[in-house]
Amino acid sequence: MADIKTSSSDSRNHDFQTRGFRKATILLSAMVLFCLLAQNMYGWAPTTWASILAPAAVVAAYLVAFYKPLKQTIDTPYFATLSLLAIALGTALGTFVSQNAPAAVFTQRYGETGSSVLRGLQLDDVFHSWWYIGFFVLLAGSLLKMSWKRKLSRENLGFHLAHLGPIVILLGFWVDYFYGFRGIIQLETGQSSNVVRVYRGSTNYLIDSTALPFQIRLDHFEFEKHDPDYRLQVWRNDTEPHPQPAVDGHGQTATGTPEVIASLPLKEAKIRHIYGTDVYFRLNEFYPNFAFDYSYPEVNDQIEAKDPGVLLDLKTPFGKADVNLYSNRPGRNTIADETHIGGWLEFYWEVPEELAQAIDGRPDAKWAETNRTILIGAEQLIYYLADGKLSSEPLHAGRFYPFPNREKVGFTMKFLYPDAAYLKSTPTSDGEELLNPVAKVEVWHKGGAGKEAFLYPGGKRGGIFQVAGTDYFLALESFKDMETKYYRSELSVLGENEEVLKSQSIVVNEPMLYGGYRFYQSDYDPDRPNYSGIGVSHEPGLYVIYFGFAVLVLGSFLMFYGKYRKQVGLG
Amino acid sequence: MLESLYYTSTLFKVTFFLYALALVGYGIGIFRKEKVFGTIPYALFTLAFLACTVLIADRWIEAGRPPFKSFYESLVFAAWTTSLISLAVEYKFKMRLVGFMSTIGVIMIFIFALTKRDVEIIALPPALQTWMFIPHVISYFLAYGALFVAGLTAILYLALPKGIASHHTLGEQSRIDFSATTYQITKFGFLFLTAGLLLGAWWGQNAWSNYWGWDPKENWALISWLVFAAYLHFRNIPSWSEKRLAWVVIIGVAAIVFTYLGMDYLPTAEDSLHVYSGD
Repeated sequence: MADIKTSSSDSRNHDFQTRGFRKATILLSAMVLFCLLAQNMYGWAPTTWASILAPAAVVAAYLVAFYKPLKQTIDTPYFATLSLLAIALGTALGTFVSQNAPAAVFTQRYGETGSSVLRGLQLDDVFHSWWYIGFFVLLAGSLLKMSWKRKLSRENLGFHLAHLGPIVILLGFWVDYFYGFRGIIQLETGQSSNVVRVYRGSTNYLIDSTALPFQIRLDHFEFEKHDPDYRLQVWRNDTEPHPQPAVDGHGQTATGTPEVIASLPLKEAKIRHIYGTDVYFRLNEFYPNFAFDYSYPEVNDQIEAKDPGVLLDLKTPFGKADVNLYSNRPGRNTIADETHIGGWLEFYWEVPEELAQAIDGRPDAKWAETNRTILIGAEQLIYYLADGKLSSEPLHAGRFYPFPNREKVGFTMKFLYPDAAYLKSTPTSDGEELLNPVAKVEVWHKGGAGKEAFLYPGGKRGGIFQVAGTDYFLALESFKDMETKYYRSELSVLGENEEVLKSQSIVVNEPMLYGGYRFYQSDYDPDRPNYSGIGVSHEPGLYVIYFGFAVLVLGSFLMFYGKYRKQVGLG
Repeated sequence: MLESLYYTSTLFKVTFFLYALALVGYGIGIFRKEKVFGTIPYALFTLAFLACTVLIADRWIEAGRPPFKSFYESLVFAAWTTSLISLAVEYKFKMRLVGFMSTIGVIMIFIFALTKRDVEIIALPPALQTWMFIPHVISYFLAYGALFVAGLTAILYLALPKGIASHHTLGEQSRIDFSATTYQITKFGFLFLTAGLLLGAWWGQNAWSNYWGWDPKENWALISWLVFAAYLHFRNIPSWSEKRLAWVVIIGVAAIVFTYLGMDYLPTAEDSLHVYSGD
């Protein structure tokens, strides 16, 4: 095995190692102190030459004071290793303290003293602190010198690439840091702008704005959710009492929200079991667009008019629906909707008193104020009272009757029946499109009789089935259609005279490039269908970074597994 | 957890059972020198790995997308890569002990996956609908699997610094140097860790116009990479002991575990874009 390690650890080596680490530690620690001093001076000094010269002098002082030990140590494995670990430690610190937070937020989190100390140590913005950047600068120096010292040969190619790759990446980073920016343009459809709000650090904090040399116009925006995927679900009620905030000074408890335990594909006839209970269930039928198929005995006149009714296929601006009106059931014989059907729809088996008066030519004035469509079952007639005028016509099954002053809103009569007890309804699906999904399930306790239930979506307000004697209920729900499938903006780049220089559609992962800028689909708001957030970035060092990535990966591969790799050592 | 196991697929249960069986086999095998006690657990581990492959493929078909989105899915994939690397290491270095420890690790991952079971298969959000998703995740999880196994061999080194005689049917009897093996596995893992990190940056640029956002998860991925880079450089220090090297690898694995599982504990995590759903 190619291995550089030897088991020797004599005292001479041990001393050398201790001295090496000590020296590197001193150099890195001193760099941190000098950088802290310089950066704080940069912050304290007024914005004059002093604010540049003073910190520059401090940095220069470090380089002068430590030039010789740096030169001696920087290309040692001690220095390289400690630099790597120092960067790791600095990065970790940056994850434990909030970064780039507004002053008020920062003080609220860490208190006055705490936030002052953290700011003094530049821990509120670690990744832009001079000491953190200093670690990278020294590491780059270390890598560069190590590579410089080693002969360029086929055997060392992997070593050189692996050590120069990070320097190339850092170079690209440096170019972007000073000459690049990243931000957002927020537009509504039809709007154009060249003002980019610029981010700093994380996307949560916007610090500045900059102007592009051209305008960006949002021509069109759209987003789509995923298709629904309905599943049979087992939910458990959270019946544990949970303490609630005492609003009125008294402690309160409430039960928590239910939890979905299982979400099962719609496989008909497959017997399922609810864990921890003796309850079984199965899906007997799934109706993508639930409807009833009605039937009634052919000979109506032999049936006494005990509970007369009419089944109508009602067409409203919201769609079509089957509606039963019952003459003898108070509140179930009328639909009163001035807005959508333009008045009242009523059903009676016999002519009511108010209508009889109107037929006799002496209508009740107040009653006649409302537009009415009145169906009379025994006579099979339809009366219209429109703008105070009464008219009538025969009522036939299968014919469409529009409401007064309406063209497309009306009804088609399906059945007129003297007794609702004889009306048979059979569940069915009106096509395969998922318009009104309903599941018919059968639930039973072990050894007991099955009970059928219809489930339909809508959470607890929808059609759920609470399993008696348990904390579980069954539901039919789809979560998938709550998630966004894609969002897309169609953009145009406009020149000085509003001429279109480029048009392109962008989605997440497919940005538009123009004039050294990149435009990304980065934000949308379901409540604002015309709004789109366009991420903008200008990164002149990007391709340098990508080149560095390729160099680093290739170098690492050659160093570890290349045919001509040097068989001993990494550095 | 039993309720969660009850509602998992039959494939999950079968895979879990096979891993458990492999563990029992290894448990017996590490105390016996006969060939058959090496072959049987290795075969069972291979069978469990194949079942895990089918489990992942089945999920891929059912979800209609790569099964790496949710925490549960990523844990199953982590178990798969760990098994793959462990089987390869056992085959190459003739280490029955690694198989024993890996099956313990894989079973722990499976048990953890049960606590994070997906009740519902979730769809891929727009940012993840790209070809880059697959190589990025595969690179990372191959790295995680390899470095996890390297962590196991590092622990074995600390426990058995003088090595151990190989008891394996697949090769000649020889003495195993756990430290050297750790180095070989780490090299492999580090290469994929580097590729995963850089592919992630590339993808981040395409999706969020940001190759590096100083996101907590990105930062910890960098920290893990730096620790393993430091490990490779520590090896150049002649008197740096093998024991210390083993500890650096273990610290690196701890950093990876924290990157994977610990983000919720960071105050900066609320800004993170890299959050597993379904946890």
